[in-house]
Amino acid sequence: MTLQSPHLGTPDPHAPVDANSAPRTGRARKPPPRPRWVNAFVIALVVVIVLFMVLHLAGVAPMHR
Amino acid sequence: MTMTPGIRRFMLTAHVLSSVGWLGAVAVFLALSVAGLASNDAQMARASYQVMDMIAWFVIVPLCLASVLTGFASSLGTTLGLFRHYWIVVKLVITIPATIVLFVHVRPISQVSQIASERTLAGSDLGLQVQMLAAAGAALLALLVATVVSTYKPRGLTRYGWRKQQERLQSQS
Repeated sequence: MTLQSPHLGTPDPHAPVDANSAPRTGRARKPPPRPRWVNAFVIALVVVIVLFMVLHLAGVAPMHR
Repeated sequence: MTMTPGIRRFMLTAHVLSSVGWLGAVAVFLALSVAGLASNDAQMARASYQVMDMIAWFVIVPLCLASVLTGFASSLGTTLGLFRHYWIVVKLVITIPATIVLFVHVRPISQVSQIASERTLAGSDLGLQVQMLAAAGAALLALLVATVVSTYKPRGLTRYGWRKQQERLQSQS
């Protein structure tokens, strides 16, 4: 049951606004943390980019001539 | 804009076909680049690079474009969206750079093919040959990761996706 339900009437428009208050629906108020697999992907991506740059600077992975 | 179930299935089928076809074509490209680099037979090496040029232009580029376009359409035409789920964002992070790298590499592929059509490849061409091999290997790895991610669809909503979900739930309640 929410505060917007017919039993409780409409929300008071003059009520103080609290940005951190719950959405009054009983649901999560904060976004879920970033999943671990995403962090692992980002780390792997950075490693691959750095590895490529190192190889490129070392002349092992030449770019176009 | 939400697609009808029929169009959604058609788009998904087209996306799977083009994506897996792209993966397969890159695998063939990799095999040919290994043959071109490692073969002792000069004719085999020259033929490999000429076939690679044809595969790049007539198979890989069209399939890449089809995969990207059908992927965008499937995401934007359904509630999945482009930036709501991490697995879709990860696919974008893989596919968009892969597409850009492909278009950057099409010219060197044609360059090697042109050289191979005129003469036997020499030691001075080794840089380009290695570049073909490295690009094909990297592309195959990237596409394998994208395929695994789209098959498993690991959980996780982005902040934007979470906010949209909350808005939808609140509008329903």
